[in-house]
Amino acid sequence: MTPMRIALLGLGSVGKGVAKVLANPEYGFVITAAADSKSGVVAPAGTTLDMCEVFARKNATGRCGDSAWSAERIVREAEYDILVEVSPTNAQTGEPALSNIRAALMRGKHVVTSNKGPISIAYPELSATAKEHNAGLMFEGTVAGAVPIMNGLRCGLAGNRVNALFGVLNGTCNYILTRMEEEGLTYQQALAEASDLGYAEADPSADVNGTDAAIKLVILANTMLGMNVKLDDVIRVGIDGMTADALMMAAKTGHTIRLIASIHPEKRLLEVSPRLIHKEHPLVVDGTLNAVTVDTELAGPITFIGRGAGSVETASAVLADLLALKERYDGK
Amino acid sequence: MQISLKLELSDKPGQLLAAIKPVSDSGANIISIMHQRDAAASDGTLIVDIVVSLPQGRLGQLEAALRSNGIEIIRIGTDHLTCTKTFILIGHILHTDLTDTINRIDKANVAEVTELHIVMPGITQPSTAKLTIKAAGSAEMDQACKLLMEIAEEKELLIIDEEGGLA
Repeated sequence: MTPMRIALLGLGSVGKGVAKVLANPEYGFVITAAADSKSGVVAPAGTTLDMCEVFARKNATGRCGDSAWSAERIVREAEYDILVEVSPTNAQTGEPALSNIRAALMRGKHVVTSNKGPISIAYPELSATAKEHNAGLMFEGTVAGAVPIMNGLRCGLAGNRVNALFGVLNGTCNYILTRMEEEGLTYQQALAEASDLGYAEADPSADVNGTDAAIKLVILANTMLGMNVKLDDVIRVGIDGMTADALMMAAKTGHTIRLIASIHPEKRLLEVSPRLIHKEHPLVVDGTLNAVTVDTELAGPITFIGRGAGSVETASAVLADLLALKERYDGK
Repeated sequence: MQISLKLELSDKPGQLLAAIKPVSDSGANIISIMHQRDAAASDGTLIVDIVVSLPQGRLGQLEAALRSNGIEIIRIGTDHLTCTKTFILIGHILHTDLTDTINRIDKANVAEVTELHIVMPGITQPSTAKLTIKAAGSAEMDQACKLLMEIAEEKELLIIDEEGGLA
């Protein structure tokens, strides 16, 4: 069977992870075009890219290819079957990823993305464009990294009404709270440690003020629960005011504190805030793990736990989407 | 504040009024009265359970008035407050008038602050407090939570709440 051709946008850690996974020919994909934010590279017709060479060039020169081949041009002109969009998130506008995804769908190309911005901002529009052009739009990697929450809801729990959803969706906050609890560190000490270990961004404000988790809630609400909400609809309280004393007080009654993102669909209530939670609850995960408990009508509560970030972990979600697309559309 | 009173009355006409009048004289509102004649003790007394909402500092006056009317007080308590919720507050709890925070919840007469534990690491640093609120039911607790959130917003306190189903 002919492999499906991929144009890969974004050559950061997730892009690297995707390229590494897809190097295995058994999955049935080849990369025919790739771009970073400054340049792009397109394989001559009928050939594929040597991604080791592409990354070596990027390391040496800061560019993966020719500045004449921008990501936008690749999306519009290159030959590919699936656009894999894994560039960094712009939570305010979703750009330039949003325009690239829109353009690919309008060409009838399938899209797999781990980019939260475009899906949280424009899911209804992108979904309609995909449908109109008979293209697939998949985004498992946008929420909770390797954890198959969307495929779990879409397939495994198909038909179940979701009464409520609770998630620990930000690994940085979870790491900080875990360390404050275990070692009695101050918030500032735990944040510094998370930065040293590479868990926190250079500017961690979107993580610690709850915005990152809120964006993921918006994606889950709109794509999985049929809601139509925006980031401003999410009540947001962060962990930046947390004290070690609060965690000690919680521990005295067998509780701990976690940044919980929750959706109550019937009340149309979306909230991200630190909450007291019993230590025995399955949502109480350590370190950078993510967890989502879905309280469903027929199956009761079900908790998904796994690694919420990381290049290979997110590549796992991208690969699952790619294989689902292959099964649905291959031969088109 | 809401309190429950278990009273022992002589089983004869006019005794219920003798128990109720001191309650209204003390400025309290009666929330509920329960007395079962079947439960009358063999010695001719009757047990009555009353829940009242009472202004702060009037309990002593009420107790004295009941006793002077010949009513026996078997128990005073908050056992009717069956719904309990714990909150953690972080911020300048003392500097933003802790007494006012507690009074506003108590005076709303839907719930009571029954426990408070506070840690103050330094005069300029935020304090952390654990607050237990008791209410007669979930509707009353929801009202108390709403009030606490309003106070927290006004005084810039971080409130850490229990999430239903998680705690």
